[in-house]
Amino acid sequence: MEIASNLLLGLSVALTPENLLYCLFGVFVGTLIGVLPGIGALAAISMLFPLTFHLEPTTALIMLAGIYYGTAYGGSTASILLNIPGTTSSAVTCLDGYPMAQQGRAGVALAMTAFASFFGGVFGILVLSAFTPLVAAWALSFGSAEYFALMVLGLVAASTVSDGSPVKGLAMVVLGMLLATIGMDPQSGVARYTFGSLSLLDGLSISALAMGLFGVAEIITSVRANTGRTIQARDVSLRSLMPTRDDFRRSWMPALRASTIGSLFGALPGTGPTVASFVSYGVEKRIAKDPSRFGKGAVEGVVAPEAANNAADQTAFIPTLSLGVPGSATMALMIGAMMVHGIHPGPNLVTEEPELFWGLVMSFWIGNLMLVILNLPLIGLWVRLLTVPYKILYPAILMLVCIGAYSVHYKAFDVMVVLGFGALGYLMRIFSMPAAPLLLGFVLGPLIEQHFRRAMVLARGDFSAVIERPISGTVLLITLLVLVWSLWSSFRKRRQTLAAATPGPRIEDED
Amino acid sequence: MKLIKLAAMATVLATGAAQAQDFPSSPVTIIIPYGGGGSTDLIARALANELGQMWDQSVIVENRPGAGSMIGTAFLAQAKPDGYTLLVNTPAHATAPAVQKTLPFDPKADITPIGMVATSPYLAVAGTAVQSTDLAGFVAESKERPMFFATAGVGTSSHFAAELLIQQAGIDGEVVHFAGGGEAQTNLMGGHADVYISNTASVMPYVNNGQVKALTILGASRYDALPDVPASGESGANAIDINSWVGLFAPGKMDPALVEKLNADMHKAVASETFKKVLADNFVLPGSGSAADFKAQVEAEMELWSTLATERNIIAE
Amino acid sequence: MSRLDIRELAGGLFLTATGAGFAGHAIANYSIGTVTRMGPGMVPAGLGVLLVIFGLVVIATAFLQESRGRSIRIAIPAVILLSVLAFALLITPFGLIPAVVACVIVATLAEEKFDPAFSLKLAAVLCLIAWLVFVVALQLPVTLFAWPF
Repeated sequence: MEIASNLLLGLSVALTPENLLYCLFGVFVGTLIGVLPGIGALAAISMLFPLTFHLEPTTALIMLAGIYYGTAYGGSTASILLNIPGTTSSAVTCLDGYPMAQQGRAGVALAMTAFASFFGGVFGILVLSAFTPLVAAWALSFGSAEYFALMVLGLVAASTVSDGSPVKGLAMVVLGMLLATIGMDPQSGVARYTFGSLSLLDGLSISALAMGLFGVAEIITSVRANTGRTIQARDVSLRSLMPTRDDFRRSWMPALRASTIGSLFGALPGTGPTVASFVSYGVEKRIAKDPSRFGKGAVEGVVAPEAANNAADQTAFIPTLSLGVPGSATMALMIGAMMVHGIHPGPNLVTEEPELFWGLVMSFWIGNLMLVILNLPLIGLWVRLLTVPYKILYPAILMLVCIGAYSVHYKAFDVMVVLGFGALGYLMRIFSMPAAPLLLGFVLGPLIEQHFRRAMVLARGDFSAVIERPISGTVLLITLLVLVWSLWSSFRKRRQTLAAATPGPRIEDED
Repeated sequence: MKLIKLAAMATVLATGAAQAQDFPSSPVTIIIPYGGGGSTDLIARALANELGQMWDQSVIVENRPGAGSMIGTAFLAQAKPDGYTLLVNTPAHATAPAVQKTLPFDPKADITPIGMVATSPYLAVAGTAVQSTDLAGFVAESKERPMFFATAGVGTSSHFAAELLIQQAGIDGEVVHFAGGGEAQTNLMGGHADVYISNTASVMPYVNNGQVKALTILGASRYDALPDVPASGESGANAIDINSWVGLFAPGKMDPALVEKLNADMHKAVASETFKKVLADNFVLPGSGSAADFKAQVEAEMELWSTLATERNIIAE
Repeated sequence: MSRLDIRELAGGLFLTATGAGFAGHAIANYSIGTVTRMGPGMVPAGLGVLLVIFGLVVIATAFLQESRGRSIRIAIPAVILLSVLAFALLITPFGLIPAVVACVIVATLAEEKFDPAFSLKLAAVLCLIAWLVFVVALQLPVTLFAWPF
């Protein structure tokens, strides 16, 4: 059967000592980069890019890819242990991961994210292996109208991401969207809110924003906070590191759903792991029997985003390999690595370069396995890191954040952006305003605006054209239904709590 | 007094020549004002490689993306004109200033054009929604259904080339802006936009994959590297005499002797066997001409795009 | 006796002011266009107005709540932000090592008792780590030391 021969071909390529070595190197560097807040995959891959000229193309790709999906494994470590995301796609993992650590379940959280990442990665690989041509064709059919509809759905689905006052949560989404308008407007070329600054023309750097908002603000809050930060070494017994059967039982459906969502967003150029992590978290919270557990250490809140971002990282290769279209700056480097060797990714890649394609796919399996094996024992190490006194830890984190921000453009400007968002983040904490929705708005806002405006240009100003297109029309309808359902269910909840609160003759439960 | 002046002049000339002779005596940096992996990036890296071997010095490549290549160019402008900081760019160097009026540097005075590395005509490719296979047919088709010209963004060369073609060929069309050539061509493939114009290095990979159709090259006569593609001049759009290029730049006020040396070395690097392959892979021809020629061309293009920007009302406010 | 949560009020004012700022600047400077042909100003103006509305709601709720009297720390945020500023100011003219040293030493000022020996040792160790991770391992093109004069 053809699939079997392809897989065998892939294995024969992926299992050569050279490729295995570079795979291991890539995933190891990737994990390290993911763990370190501030530095992301793009910086690492850019640095190692010149190395790929001297390597075989398959080997080069295996290494770069390893770094790429490796970061999605390591990113959750800092999120869980320090409430500071190691990568932007792990920001959502802070919401439940950190509370879990505070409840003494850091090891469990880390283990579950490793498993979730593996689950998501494998799911993504399966989609990549079996459905690449289908998914690629489907991605092509997504014009701006469809993107617009999907991003709106994503926004509605993810809007439940925060606890506390819904007004504040929505206000933060709006603020995030406003901050994202800073820069040159892609549709008109007008520089918005840049006040002549060339550095602002491309907008605020998302990693500087996330580092300031989540990282610096967290440090400000935690320094000398007397919250019993230092955990005794003896509390970190091996048993406390192991997830319970209950954890697994609760996790596998969210992992499955999140992997599907992740695969979807990953395969669409222009969206990726960050959006996927938000949306999958929001979905899980919405359909959970007891949504109030989220934000307080629900294991689903950690499993969903991590499965989603890993799935998205794998399926991001679908448009890259089969269309030759980079969905992000990192993918552009992957394509560059191929082009240097004269390989042009595209619909013919699978048939013309089967060793490359299947070798790469099989290396993803091997890489993910390596990562799980690497990461699980490291959990003990990371948790022991918690015992390092905070007064040593926080200057280190500040330094990492500063260097990481600087390394984006090698300009002090980005460090100033971190400063600004650190101040904003702290201010928001004083006002009890949640940070995650701001990041959500910042990521989705420009997608919604640009795709809507472009869809209008392409539809010559006729909005009904957007509704009439099959995909966008359906997605918008689903969005409407979700909105109606969530409004109705919150209304119902309000009635229930009112009914429970008002004293009166004892009525047996009606609902 | 006269003797002192003469001696001073002689010293300056001598040091200039000496500077040019000693160059390079330490590593050189070539800035690429785009993210890694794109066609300009790969061509620039190949050039860096060649020059490095020629000079027996390490030539490092630095990606400094942003603001349509203006961030990298701004960095170049404030570097010393000693030849150790150079930059590789496309006509974005001429189109971006036409749209961005508040640059922190003077694109003419603060930059020294060194020479043209490679050149190709602009190639218009059509997506799945377009039936015609040449410009004449395309113009006719546009009368039935107004066309959408995809661009890689406001102020990019694909934007300006599209405006130029619309104006010169009398096409019924309007521009739609995307975030980069990749997104533009994806939309072409999906049938959401109709045509995209860019240099051969950017579009030929997709043409070769059969994902988009080569519609026409913008020029009076056919292009040697792509003999099967009709020229826009054949369909009557004769006033288009502009080509895409990849060029080498240095900071402003550079010593003329050094400029000449860099120009000569650049041409030598481009003529090498290994670089010939790079040129062929990208369907581009080697650039020619002195630094003065290149400077004249760049400045002429800056004028052209600036005028076009005003005529076609490109800068929205 | 007035019920007023000062913190909520401040938060609401913050939202209102920010929203008004964005919207006002957009309306004054960028073309708005129509809903089907949006100009660059439409979305920021709309979002700004939305934020003002949310801000007003928060202000309203501020009058329905008691003040929660938690004290706000000023010194620590100032020190931490200063530490980031130190890095930003020093990195370009003086290079990585001075920037890291400044960042770390200023950061340690946030501790109750400033211990110069500890700060210097920590700075030295972190400089080493920074060098190993970023310069040796990742080959980031950062200058270690520079002298701008």
